[in-house]
Amino acid sequence: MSATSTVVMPGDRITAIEELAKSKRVILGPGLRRLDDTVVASKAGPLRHKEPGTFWVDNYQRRYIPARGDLVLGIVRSKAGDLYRVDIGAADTASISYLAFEAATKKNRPDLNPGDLIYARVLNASADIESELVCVNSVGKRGKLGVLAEGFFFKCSLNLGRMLLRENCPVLTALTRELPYEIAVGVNGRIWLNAHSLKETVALANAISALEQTGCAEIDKICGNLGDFLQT
Amino acid sequence: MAGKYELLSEQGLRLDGRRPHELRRIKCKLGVFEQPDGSAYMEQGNTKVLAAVYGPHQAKSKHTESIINCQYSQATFSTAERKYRPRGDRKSLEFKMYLQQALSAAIKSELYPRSQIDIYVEVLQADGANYAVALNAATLALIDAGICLNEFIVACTASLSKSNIPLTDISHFEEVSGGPKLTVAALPTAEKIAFLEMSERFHIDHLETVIETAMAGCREIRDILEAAVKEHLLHMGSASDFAKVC
Amino acid sequence: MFMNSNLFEPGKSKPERNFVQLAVKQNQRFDGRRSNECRDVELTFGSDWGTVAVSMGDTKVLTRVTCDMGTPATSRPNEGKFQLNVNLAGVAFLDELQTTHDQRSLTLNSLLERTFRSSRSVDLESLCVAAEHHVWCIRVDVNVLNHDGNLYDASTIATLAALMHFRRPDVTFADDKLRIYTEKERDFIPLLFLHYPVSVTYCIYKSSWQPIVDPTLLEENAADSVIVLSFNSYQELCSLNAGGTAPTNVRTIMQCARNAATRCKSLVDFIRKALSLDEERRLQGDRLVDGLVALIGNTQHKLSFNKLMGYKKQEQQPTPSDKMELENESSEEPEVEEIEAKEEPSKEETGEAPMDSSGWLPQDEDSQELPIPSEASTSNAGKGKPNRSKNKANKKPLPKKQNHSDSEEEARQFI
Repeated sequence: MSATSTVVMPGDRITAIEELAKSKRVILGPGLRRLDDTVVASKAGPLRHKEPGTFWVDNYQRRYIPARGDLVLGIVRSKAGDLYRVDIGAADTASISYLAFEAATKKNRPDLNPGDLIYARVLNASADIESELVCVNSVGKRGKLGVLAEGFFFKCSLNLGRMLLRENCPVLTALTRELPYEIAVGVNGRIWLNAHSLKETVALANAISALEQTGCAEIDKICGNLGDFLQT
Repeated sequence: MAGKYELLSEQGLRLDGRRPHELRRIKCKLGVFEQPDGSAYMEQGNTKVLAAVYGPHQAKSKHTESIINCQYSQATFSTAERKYRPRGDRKSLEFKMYLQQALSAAIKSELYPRSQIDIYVEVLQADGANYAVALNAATLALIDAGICLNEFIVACTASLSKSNIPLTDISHFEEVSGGPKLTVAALPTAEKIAFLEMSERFHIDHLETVIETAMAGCREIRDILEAAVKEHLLHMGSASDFAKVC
Repeated sequence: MFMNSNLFEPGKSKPERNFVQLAVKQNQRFDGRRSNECRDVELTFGSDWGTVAVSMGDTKVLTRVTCDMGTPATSRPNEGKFQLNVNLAGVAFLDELQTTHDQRSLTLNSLLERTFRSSRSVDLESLCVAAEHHVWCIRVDVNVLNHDGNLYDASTIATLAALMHFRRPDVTFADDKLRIYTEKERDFIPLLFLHYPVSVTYCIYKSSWQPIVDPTLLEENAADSVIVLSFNSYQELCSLNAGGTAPTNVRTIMQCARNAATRCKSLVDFIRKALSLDEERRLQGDRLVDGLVALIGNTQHKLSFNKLMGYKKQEQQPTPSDKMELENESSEEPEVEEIEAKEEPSKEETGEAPMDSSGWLPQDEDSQELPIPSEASTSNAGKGKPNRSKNKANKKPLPKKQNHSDSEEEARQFI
């Protein structure tokens, strides 16, 4: 991803992309729209670019719009026949079938109750339909998905969630050096944490929330302080 | 400390001739109506309240826990001046919320998932301690309906006279004359308070005595209600022969 | 004004509830306070008489007092009118049911009414100009800007401060002619009080008998019972409201009451001090804060409870009771941090509060401050987590399996 970014406003026409599109295949991400032959920005923010030809506009957002393949944290709201209704923080509740769990059969239903927290993947989503989730991967194995028990969960902005999920983000590895923990990051702006003791969990949660304000650059300082205080 | 009038005479009698720790005369009756699942009528002095309980029945909204829905209203003829808004005004909404809070502490709601219990309380004559009597009537109606309770939940009011003597069960005039007013809804045997509300002001040193007075009042009321329930059971049971046990 | 930092209410879901109950049992709070510790209260007075913004942590309330000439009620012809209005619209959470919102505004309204009106804190008879014809009608408008728990305390403090700050015009009534003087002609007159009430809130959980004071939104929503007590500076109880699904015994309530009485007294003293400081500033002819944004943002006119009351949080607290500085707490934070991490539940959240608002305000605001606070804010970021200093045995060398690797994998595929 290139580091340069020009800030675009809604309605700006981005001729650079149009030029590129004449020769190469160009993918327009969120915040950019195509109107006939012109490319227009619909959100305000820095324009980002990734090789070989993906463009999008970053913005600070809290409300999640479901997209296929996303990993999200949802809270089960109710049972409705064969489905569970799950709240993922989007406009609509999502649904997950009881068969979408590992080793679930018609006779062997999963033990899921309203109020439980699940880590699931969005199977299909569009603006018109209610999104569907699954807790298994394509092979039918659970992987890391499923019900999350214990621990602490809190909300953050979508940006923080995405930042943590990037492969070159030093945050999580840096925190590992301080203390062992489990974390589940949802792209819908929800994070679940679990550490050995309550104090560690709370400390960690505070550390990650602080990142929202400061950014990755401060991570070393945060980790340092975290370590100091957990030791004393 | 507050209050315009002295609520206690030199002989230690209140305006209606009661001693400070005396409750007003309580009359109650269960099962006064046919239609609701449970009903009760309660009089405490001149305050007369009717309560009706419907439930547990199917909840309108899809909820997995039990819903306790209360409604508190005062008849238009209940006060000295005709009351224009029987329900939906601020006071009624407040009392409705307090009723809900207090009764959720008493009802064993885990036994009624996905159901709704409706409790309607109507004050026919308001002469002080409206909320307390309403709650007591609601308890009786719940018992009549056979809904499982943790315990009796009983409410009582208390106040403080100018000479700092605590008074139990205040009437409308004592309320209005500006003295402090404390309402306690408690589970008497467990000695726990489910709801407490206080207005006007008095010094913190007196707080404990006033609360204790109210709690003692609650215990007395509970005994009275228990006697009434037992009598009602005997009466009902005589028809179907189950009261022979008690 | 929608200043909510969370689009949904924390503490309403089951996992959060369980966590908070467990945390309370172990006497841990999310922001590092002890169970009997309150957040710092910050007051900012506006340029108009009677305008006050209060913030306790992230909870922000703005109150305004205005007055008008009117006719009295027929039942009380020689008393002025007092009207109270609470506006919660700015904190309507999107995921919340309408009933919860109504309930909340109802309880807040009723609490404020009982604390100020029923207990007769303002002397309404002094507002009478001509019996049966002309009286002053005081109107208090409370606007909740952000809800992070404990709206009750913030509103009562804001209302009391606004009422005490407020000045009404002087008026003469002679020969049936009413004459209201402007500020230039005659100084405005403050209101007369019979007593000064403020409130303190406690939360009780089923898992532990210990109540916690000044809850944040997370703690409040997960609470089973809430006790709100209002005391005035003479230690008289003005209003009390206790209710919820966890019945309490008298002892707990009495204990809360005693602690609340002392805290209320110090709060009223703080408001008085803050008012006198504000007076001085006005006399000096300082250019006062104008406008809403300046009022609720970080200005140097903010008066902090901890600072003014010489509140001793940690050993090394040089608490001068001089004027407030913006990053006052944060400037003390680093020295404390570096020096000794003793057993203190330091106010981590105050470290975050300036950060939060600075994130909200435009960037140039930060550059106006001294270099020290700015580096303080970064070290605050460093201490963006509480100092739970009791942990001795927490060096578990074996790293547990970390689930984030899965999500990182996924990230590669998408971006």
